[in-house]
Amino acid sequence: MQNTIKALILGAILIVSLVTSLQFGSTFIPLTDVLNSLSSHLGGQNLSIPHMTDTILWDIRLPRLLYSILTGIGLSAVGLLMQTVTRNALADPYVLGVSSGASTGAVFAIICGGLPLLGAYNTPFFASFGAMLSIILVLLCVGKSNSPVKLILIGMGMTGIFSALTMMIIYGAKHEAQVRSAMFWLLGSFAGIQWQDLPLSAIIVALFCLFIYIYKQDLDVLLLGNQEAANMGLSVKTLQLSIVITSSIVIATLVSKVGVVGFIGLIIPHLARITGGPKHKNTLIFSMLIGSIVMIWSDVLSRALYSPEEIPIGVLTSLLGAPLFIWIIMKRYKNIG
Amino acid sequence: MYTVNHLSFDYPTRSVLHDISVEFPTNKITAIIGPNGCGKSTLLKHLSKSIYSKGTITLNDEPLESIDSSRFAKFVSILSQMHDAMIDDFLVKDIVLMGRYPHKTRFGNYTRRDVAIAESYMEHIGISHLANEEVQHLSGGELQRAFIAKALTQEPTILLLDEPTNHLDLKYKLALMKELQTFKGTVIVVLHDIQLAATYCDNIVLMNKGRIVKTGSPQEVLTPELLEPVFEIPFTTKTEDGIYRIQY
Repeated sequence: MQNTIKALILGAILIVSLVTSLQFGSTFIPLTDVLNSLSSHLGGQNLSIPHMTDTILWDIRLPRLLYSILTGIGLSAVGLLMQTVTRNALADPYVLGVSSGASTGAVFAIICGGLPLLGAYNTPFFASFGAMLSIILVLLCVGKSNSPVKLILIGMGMTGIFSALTMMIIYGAKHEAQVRSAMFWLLGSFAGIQWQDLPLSAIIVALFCLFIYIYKQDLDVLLLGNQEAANMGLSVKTLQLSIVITSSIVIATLVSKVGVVGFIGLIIPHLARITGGPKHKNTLIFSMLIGSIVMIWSDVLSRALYSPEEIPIGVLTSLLGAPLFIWIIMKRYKNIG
Repeated sequence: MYTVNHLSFDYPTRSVLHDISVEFPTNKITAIIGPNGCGKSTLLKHLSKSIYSKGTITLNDEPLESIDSSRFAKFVSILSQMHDAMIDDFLVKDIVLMGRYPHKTRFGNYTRRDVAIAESYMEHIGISHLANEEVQHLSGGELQRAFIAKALTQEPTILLLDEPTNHLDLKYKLALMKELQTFKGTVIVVLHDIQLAATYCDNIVLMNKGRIVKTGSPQEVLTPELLEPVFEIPFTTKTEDGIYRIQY
């Protein structure tokens, strides 16, 4: 099947998912109400739906749904580039330690209080600060080298340092509620996402995808290896640095809002390659589509499984993602010794 | 013309190249030969701008370090030994087409002409039937030929090849050397097979222990007197049907 047809099919699934997923949550909302609410907000027609239903759909579920799509796209695209820059199929968006830095920052804000005058921005601010601090430290340690192995290993080291700091802060917590709140953040959640959270994240994720699209052929050449890519005239160090910095900004933005959502950035690029081949032009488009769909339904499940309670999204993506990842690896290496 | 002047290169624990000065003539095939660890590949890495060290290298009187990488790649194609590629899922035709990367405009796509050039070199090298195969399904020799096709697709005026006959069976070894003879430009090739160097190359650079032993035509360089102390085995030579033959 041609890639265009596959993309159209996935696009159609995404649109259907967008509308139908809005029905699910602590209260089931019929599809007609969903459609009526959407058309009255988007088309300007005043169709009769209960006010409460409209509020749930428009003010709670829709921003959350759109943010889950942004997260799916952002994590998948960053995962794709991390696998390219390290030429390692096991790399994920968190390989450079950015999420660990963000976690330390967020847990510091939740348990130690951070800067209370920041109000609702307290946790996102400290998470972003932690993320940027960790990537600056990684870049300082990597220095002028462009070795992907060095990058991964220093990222792992940085992850270890920040994870230990996070655990230290949690261990020192005085109230159980703080620990529960920190753990919930660490495992990821879209709860509390509002319309105002969307614009900045959407711009950052869109610019990042545009960056990948513009540099798609350079990224293909980078897959030949650093030396070969340099032989072909590619500025390897510049491209690598741009990838690390832009990816970190995307991860810091997303993680500061929703916490650490695992496995999406690892498995979606693999699924995208299986679906559309290895060229970045295709893997980007399929990562965006598949990442969005998987994230929408993961969020629906996280809300619906123990309704009205919510399971952290990171638990669900890991639970679904890990077996899928094992299946992909088994399928891929079936004929290889 | 490539000119190397007083080039030296050391690893922290070992000296690899000692004050090397050598010229590589334009539009000729030059083979660099010598025993393992004599510095052949290190010299080639210097010529391909992968390493800089003490000494100067000029290309047509222009210092190599003043030629930026993207301009260099437009006229110099390098076949090196790759270590950290992640290209298993790529089709052979996509890899060969990447040879056009240095000629592509900054944000442009590969053109129909680029595709036609890649196809013609796949045909030349005899891998057209593998065009739609994934790289992971190729043998070592087939992969080597795909990379040779990619190097030629770059349409360079200078080819730098590090042991290009590795993994190739006899038929393709000879086909590659004949292809190099038809190449309109300068070829500098690191070779292990002395007979291939004698038969197909115009110029030989014999190296030993990081130094140049002798440069010149095959008949001038590949003599038992020069080869025996370098390779530490006995050699005999004779000319048969116009071909200079070396036996050991």
